Amino acid sequence: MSSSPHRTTAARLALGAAVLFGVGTIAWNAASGLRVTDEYGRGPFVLQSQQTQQLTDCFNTVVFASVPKGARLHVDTTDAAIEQRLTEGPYPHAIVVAPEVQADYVVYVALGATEEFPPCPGYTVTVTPVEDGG
Amino acid sequence: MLKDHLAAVCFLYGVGLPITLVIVRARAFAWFLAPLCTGLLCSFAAMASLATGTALAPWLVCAVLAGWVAAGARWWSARRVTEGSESTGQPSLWAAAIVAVITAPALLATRAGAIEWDARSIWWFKAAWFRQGGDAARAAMNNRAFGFAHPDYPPFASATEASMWTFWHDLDRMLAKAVSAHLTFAAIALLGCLLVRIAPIGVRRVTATTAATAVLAGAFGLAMFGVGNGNGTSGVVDLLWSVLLVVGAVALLVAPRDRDVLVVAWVALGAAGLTKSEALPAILLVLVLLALRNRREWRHTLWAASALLPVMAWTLLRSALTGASNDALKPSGVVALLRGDDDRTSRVSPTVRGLWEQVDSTTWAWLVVAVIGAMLLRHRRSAASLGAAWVLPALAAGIAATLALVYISGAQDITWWLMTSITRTTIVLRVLLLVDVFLWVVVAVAALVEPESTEIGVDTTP
Repeated sequence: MSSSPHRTTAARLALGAAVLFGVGTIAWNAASGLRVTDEYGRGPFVLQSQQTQQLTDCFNTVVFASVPKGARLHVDTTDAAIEQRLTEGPYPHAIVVAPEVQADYVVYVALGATEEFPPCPGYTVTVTPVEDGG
Repeated sequence: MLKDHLAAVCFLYGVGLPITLVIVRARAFAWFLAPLCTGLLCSFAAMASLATGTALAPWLVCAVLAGWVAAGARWWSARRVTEGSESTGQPSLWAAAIVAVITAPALLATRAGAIEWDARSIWWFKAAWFRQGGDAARAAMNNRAFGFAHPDYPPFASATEASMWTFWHDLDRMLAKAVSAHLTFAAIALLGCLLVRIAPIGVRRVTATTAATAVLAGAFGLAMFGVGNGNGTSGVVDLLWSVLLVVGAVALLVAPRDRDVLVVAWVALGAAGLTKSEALPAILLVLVLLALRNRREWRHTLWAASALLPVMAWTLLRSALTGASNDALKPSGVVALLRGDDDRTSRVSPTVRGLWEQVDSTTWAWLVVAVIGAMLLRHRRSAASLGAAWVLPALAAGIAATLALVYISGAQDITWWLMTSITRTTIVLRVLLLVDVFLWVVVAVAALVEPESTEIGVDTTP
């Protein structure tokens, strides 16, 4: 099949554009693969002895807290409904990693956004280590 | 944390490598098939433990020894035949290393705490059941209070983590997270090696080696972790089954056929089916497309279909012992949808909108590349033995339609269901579209560097 020089040049330009666009798409996603923070921008390396965190998403909020080995945690919120959901909801909403794990303790707070418990941006959750027997 | 990764790597590769070095000729494939092969052995052991109500450890030892003995026997019997023969057109170990090194930094994210809800409440919870033995696992699966842990989900990830816990740091969730991440990493690296294997030869001549293609495949591997958006390193299995399914699809529907590729396809599809329930309809779609592509070579289709045997065994075992069933697809919901009931049709709009919002940017990017490719490179792609250009998009469309049907006909509140799952269930669609983008890119590069060449494919069918 013969083709004019203009058409060939246009085809090569189109192919070049497709290559750049395709490689760019892969590179864009690859950059996301290098991200080590979660969807709220929190990195995995920042752990604190006590943390008060403002909720941005009540469904899937993660609060990190570092506490002494064997200690219990006290989880407090600014809203009684949320506190109740933490302990009495259909899911065990607050989970503390096992004491033998070397990683610092982690509290996982997951609050369901339903009609009874609407999204609650602006509330805070405070995680405080409590001494054994305290 | 480094200790956990070293333990996971030693276990996953140490158990599987003696087997995969025998069943495939290409060392690159053997390396990244090894963890998946280990996972299959652990799954068989967990199923045997569950079926007999006995401890996991003896079954694990039996499964590993049986695998090693079978591999040894095969190596001995095939030694004279294959001695000195090297397969051509296969990815080299150097290419595999490039893919792995570029992809590996994504594993840094495993340093985050073991906090992912689904990982804890489903996969690691079930791993703890398997770790305690078949009788404990059976009791837990029949306990209605544990319904949130989806007892019907298949055992691949949980059984592998339970096996790791049997040997090292019982119930350590950071260790379980490392095992899960390395299974995902192996699947992604395997996909990268497969893409290097099928890349048109014109690209390889740019550097006289496969390095350029391997670099792009490594970036592609990193992109898979990007598509997973944390799912590859947090302990959940959605990226794992998605990539495994795509490995099987590429091996069967795109790659030039040889023995290694067929083995890769079998292991990948078998592992995908044992990883998550969503994989089953997707595997069936792959098999339908394969049957359409190879109407005369029905033996290949039959071979690929045999990869469903492990998941069928799990389904029978699960039904017989526990009564747990798949809670997603409701036939009554499909009937109601066909009748046009309001409670079903009202779910159509949010479902379609939710699906589109997850894949829109990837779809637009794919569309730009695919339209240019279809206009200028259709014949060149066919000549490169890369299968028909419509196959992978057709598979993606079929999976999307299946997903939509499940969401629309399901019993759960649609808003809650979409919010909690749609980012994960659509990963497979984005992976498929990006694989197609990769293939168009390498065909386009081949056309640019060697515009007159017709030799752009390698077929090493033995």
